[in-house]
Amino acid sequence: MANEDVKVGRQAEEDKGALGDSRPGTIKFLTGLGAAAHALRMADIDVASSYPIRPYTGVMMMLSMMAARGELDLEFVHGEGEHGQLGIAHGASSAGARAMTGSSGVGVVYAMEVYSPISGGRCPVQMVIADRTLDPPGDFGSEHTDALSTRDQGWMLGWAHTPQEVFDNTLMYYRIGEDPRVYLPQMNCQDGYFISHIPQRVVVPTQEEVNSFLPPLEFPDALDPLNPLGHGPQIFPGQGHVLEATRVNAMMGTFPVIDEVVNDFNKRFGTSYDPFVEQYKCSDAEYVIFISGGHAFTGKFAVDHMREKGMKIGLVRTRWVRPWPTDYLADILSKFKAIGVVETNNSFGAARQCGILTLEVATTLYQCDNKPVLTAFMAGLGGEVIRLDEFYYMGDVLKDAAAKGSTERTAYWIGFHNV
Amino acid sequence: MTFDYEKYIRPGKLPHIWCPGCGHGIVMKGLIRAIDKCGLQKNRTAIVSGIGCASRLPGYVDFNTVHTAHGRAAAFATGMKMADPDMTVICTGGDGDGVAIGGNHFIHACRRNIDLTYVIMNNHIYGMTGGQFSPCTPTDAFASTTPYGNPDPIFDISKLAIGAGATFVARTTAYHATQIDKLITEGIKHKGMAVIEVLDCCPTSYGRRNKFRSVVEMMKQHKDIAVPVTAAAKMSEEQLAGKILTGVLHKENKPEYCEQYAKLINKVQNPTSK
Repeated sequence: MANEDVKVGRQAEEDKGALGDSRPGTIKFLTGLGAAAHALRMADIDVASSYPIRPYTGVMMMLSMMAARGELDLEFVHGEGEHGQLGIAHGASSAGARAMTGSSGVGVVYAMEVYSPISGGRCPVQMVIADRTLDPPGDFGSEHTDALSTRDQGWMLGWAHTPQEVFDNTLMYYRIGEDPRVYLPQMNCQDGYFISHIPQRVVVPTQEEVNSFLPPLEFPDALDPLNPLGHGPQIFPGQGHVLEATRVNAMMGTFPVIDEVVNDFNKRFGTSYDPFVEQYKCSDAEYVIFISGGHAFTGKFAVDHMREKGMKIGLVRTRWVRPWPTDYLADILSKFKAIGVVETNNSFGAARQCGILTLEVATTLYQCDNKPVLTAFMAGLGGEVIRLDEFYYMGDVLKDAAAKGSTERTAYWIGFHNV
Repeated sequence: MTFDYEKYIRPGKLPHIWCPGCGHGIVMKGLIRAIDKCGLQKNRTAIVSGIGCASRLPGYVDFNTVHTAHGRAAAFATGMKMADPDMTVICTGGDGDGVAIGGNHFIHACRRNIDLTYVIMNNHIYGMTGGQFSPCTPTDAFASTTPYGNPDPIFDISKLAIGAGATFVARTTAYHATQIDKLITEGIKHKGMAVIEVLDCCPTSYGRRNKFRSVVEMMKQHKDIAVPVTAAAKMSEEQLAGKILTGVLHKENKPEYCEQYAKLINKVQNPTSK
């Protein structure tokens, strides 16, 4: 893994000018996993629980090395499987530690039982996910079905599209999840390989700056031998709906906190993240690609190229899947004539025979007076690259849909329908 | 006459993924010789694995083969054996797969004494994912996630199997190539859960980090520390310090699970018969 500082000091200062980056800090050349590891180090995590699986596992190798070098006061614990791994993170968080864990693909879903107890226990664990296709058969490529399968388990869930965003999300997610108005676990997702293993420039702030942004965790109901209390009791059915309502309120209550935290981050670190949804060249767009995760990086180039040909296309990238930013997206999406959702996941037999995100987008638009034409692009499945020409094909379908007010299909399979 | 391995190898599946110096190929050849010795029919033999380097073995051999989820070989094989008790079912896999993520299934297969043969290749590391420490990484040894030495105590796989109830438990090393097929043959013929632990070499992920200058050195270490269980009976505790016992460590006859299950069905369906 190439995670070396390439340029620091004056050279880095010069680069900032050339690349139009006004952020202060050291510039490192980091993969998505390297960015996560450095951010976790600076977040001063207390416990990491690991289990090896590609491609996320590099973050654990880096963290164990940082702990061994004394760069980070960390308890590094190895689970006997992902199920045990999540149990360790749950226990650590219950005891008041800033805990992290992570996984990929089948590892993410093997731990499925433990997600709801962690979120229901309001333990603000952070999980680094580098997406990987689920079995069968064994495949190493990135597909989002692994983490999306956990969307109903009460965790916050969002994707970064560059190593820099991974770094920044790591800090923002902890601050949001540990906010006393929230106390929820977070899945900090990045595409396997495309983000996790390809190094890019990452601006790393100083430790003091991170400390002032992210205060130490204060968990009021931490297990403490001097002040014993019980976690995870058995309840009666009549108490269930109250508990569920509390959990929904916690999740819905994250919106103002996300807004506040992301804006504070932007102010401190000179970034310009939209708290919920990134809009790329959307101001005069008639049709847009809707996307989540790393393929947005390619998608933006494709949009540039199509715009050069005079197409009125834009790209909308959601930074969150849970909570789903319904109101924000309804405002943004309802003004377009056509929307194509890039689905790097699959939901076999779903309504419209699309993936998971289209279901959410369709539900979002249902309340709107203007309902754009909506279709899905099943792309990047099995971890395949989504090429520029495939984005151009999507652009053509959307241009046609905007003109006609309809599409031939509710879901286009890239690799089948475009050949 | 040389042994014809190709008869049992799937055409087009080679070359394999194993690194130069890895012992998994030696174990695979031993397994093939054992199957040949037992005269098993290809279509009545199943080889089941989990995930990992050792678990790639079933892909190369021409039997009924299944590459299941990480750690699930014993669970999957239990279902298979229950559905078709006359089928010979063999599990292959590594230490991380078998006794970490699959540890629960492994001990319960041992407890039930179901008629499986489990060949477990113990190379002390998660090789495929980049050399993370497993429950069989020796204490103080180095792995990618224990850069200053492993603080954890280990599982002794053979002792674990005996303790859990397996009725045939044997151990050898990848150095002792001819013993591998002898022990697997005996395991296949044994009625009940048979565990054959083979200490294996992972030069790439384990050897390099633990100051083994070559595979030969790793194999020589296995040769030096291996003491046949028969010879060990005549040795003192001091002489046995740092050694590992090889050969058949445990063998007993106990009711086999599929047979017990069939008996119960028979009893319930025919209450008058004895």
